[in-house]
Amino acid sequence: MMMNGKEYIESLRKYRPTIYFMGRKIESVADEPMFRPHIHAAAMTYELAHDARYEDIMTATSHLTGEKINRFTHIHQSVDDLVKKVRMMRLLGQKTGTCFQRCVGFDALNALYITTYDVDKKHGTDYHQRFVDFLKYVQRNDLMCVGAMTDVKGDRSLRPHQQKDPDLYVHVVERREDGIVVRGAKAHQTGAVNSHEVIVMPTRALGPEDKDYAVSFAVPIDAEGLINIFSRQTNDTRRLDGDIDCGNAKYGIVGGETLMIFNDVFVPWERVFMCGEYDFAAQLVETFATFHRQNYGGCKVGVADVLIGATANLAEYNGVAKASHIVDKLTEMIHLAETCWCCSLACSYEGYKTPSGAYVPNPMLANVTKLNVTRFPYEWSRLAQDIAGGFVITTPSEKDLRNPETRELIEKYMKGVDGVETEHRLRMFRLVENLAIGAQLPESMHGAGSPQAQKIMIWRRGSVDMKKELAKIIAGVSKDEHFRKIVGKSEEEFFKEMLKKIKNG
Amino acid sequence: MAVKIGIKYCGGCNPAFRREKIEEILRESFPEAHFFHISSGDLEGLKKADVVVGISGCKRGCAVESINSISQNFDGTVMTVMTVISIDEERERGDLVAQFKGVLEELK
Repeated sequence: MMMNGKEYIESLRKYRPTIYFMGRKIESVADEPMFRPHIHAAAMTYELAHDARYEDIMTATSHLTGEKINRFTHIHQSVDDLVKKVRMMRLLGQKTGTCFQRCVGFDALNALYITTYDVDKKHGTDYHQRFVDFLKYVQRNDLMCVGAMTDVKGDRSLRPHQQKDPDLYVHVVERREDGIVVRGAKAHQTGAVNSHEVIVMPTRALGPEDKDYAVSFAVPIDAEGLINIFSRQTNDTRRLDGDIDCGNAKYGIVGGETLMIFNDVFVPWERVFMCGEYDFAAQLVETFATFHRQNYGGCKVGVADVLIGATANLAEYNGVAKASHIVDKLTEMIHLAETCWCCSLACSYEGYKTPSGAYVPNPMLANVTKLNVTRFPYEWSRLAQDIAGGFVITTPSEKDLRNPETRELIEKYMKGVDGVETEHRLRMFRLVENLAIGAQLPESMHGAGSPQAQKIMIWRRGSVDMKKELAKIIAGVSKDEHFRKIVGKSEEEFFKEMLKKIKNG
Repeated sequence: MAVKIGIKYCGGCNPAFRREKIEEILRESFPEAHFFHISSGDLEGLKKADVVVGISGCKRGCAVESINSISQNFDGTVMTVMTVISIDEERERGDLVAQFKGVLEELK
C-alpha cells in the first residue's frame, strides 16, 4: 500500500518515539511545530508518487512481489533505475527547496541488499533472507527508514575498540538466544524523528578486535531504549514567528537531524543483518557511500534550481535583471549546478550489476559527484548573495511588517520595481537567505561524508599505475605497440631514419 | 579436439587494469586450447566458439553487453562470459584460472 502525503503524516501518530528538544520531551511528532517543515518535505516523497505527472519517476515495480511501490523502497534492478533515482532526487529538490530525508534509508536498503548477499556467500550466514523479509515489510507498508551510519567516534585517532569509552561506536553488548543488545550513538541522523524504522550500519572499516562493532540491524523508531535528541539549526525558531522570516516555512532547511542514542536496545535476530563479520564492514560502508554520494548532484541541484529562480526573481524585483553581469552570474550558477547534475547522471549510467542482481552506481564517479558538491554550492551561493544584495541579511522581520506602526514605512522603503509587492520582495530575500546562507552549505560539505572521505575513495580507484604506464608509452619510456604498427617499424628505427632524412635535406 | 575459446574485449575507454593480461594468463594456463578474437557484430565468430570470454576493463562490463548484442539472434549457446576486474594480485590470477577450469569442466 503506497501512502500519500497526508497518510504518511497520520502514520507517524502510530509511533511513540522518545525525542527531546530544547529541554522538553516531545509528545507528538506529527503535531510539533518545530518538526512540521521537515515532515512536509518527507511527505512530498509520498505525495508525488500519487501524481500522474510524476509517478513514472516516483514509483517502481518490486522485484520481490511484482507490486507497484514507492521508488524509495525499491532495489535498483537496472541502470535505468539508477538514473531514475537521481531524476527523482532533482525533482524533489525542486519541489521542496530542501532535503527530503528519505534517500538515506533508501540507500541503506540497497547497500544492505548487496552486502548481505555477499556476506552469506562467504560465511554461509542467512542475513540476506532476513533482510529480504524486512525489505518486503518496508515495501508493503511504504515505510520511511533512517539510515544510521555515522558514529559519534570520540577520539578520531583511535579505532573503536581502543576508545576509552567503548560506547562511542555502536556495538553489541550482549548476545542472547532471541537476539542482541546494542549500545552507542549515531550522529547527524537526518529525518530520524519522522521515520518509521531505523537501519543501523557500521561507520568504518573494522578489524578482528572490532568484531562487536561490525553490527547492522533495523528497529522501529520507538524501540525501547532508543532516544533521539533533535539538533538546533541556525535561525530555527524563526519558524515559530510566522511564514516569512525562515524563508522556506513549508519545508524547512536541511533535513532535521538528531543525536540518536541506543541505550541497550534489544534487536531480535530476524532484524540483525550483520553481527561480527568485520571483513564486510568496509564494503557495506563503501557501497552505502557510493549510493549516497550519487544523490548529491540530484537533490542539491534541485535545490539550486530553486535558488537560481529566487535569485533571478530578486534581480527582477531589484530592477537589474538585464544587466550583463547579472546574466553572466546567473549563467555561472546554472553551469555549476548542471555540472553536478552531469556527475550524478554519469555515475548512474556507468552503474553495473552486482552478484546480488542489484545495481550500483560507478563508485569513482559517485565520489567525484559528491566532492564537487562540497565546493560548487559555495560558489553558486556566493553568486546568489552577490546578486541579491545586502538586504538578504538586513531585511526587517515579518513581525515589523505586520505591525500597523511600521508596515507602511517598510512597504514604502523596501519597495523595488513597480508592480511587485514589497512583501514578495521580502519573501524572496528570505528564501535566498535560507538557501544560500543557512545550514544548506555545511550540509553540502559534510552530508554523505566530508571531502577527505571522497578523496580517499578517488585515490584508491584512480588507477594511477595505469596512468603512469600511459605516460611512459607516450614519453617513449615504454614500447608503443600501436605506433609500431602505424609506422611499420620500431620507434628507435623510425626516429633514426627521420633524423637521417632531415640531416640529408 | 581442442576447445575453441572466443575472446571479446570491451572498448577499453578507461580500463582499471591491463586487459590483455587476462588473455595472456588464459593462453599460458590452457596451451592446448584454440584462442581467437570475436569482432563486434561477429555472429559467425560467436557460433564457432565453445566458450566465449568477455574481458571488460571495469565493472560496467561492456564486453558482456557487446556479446549480448551479437547473440540476440543466435539460438546456440554462449557458454560463459567472464568479467574480471583486476589482476593485480596472484590470488586473482589463481581465481581466474580456477574459474575457467570450472567452465571447461561444465563444457565436458
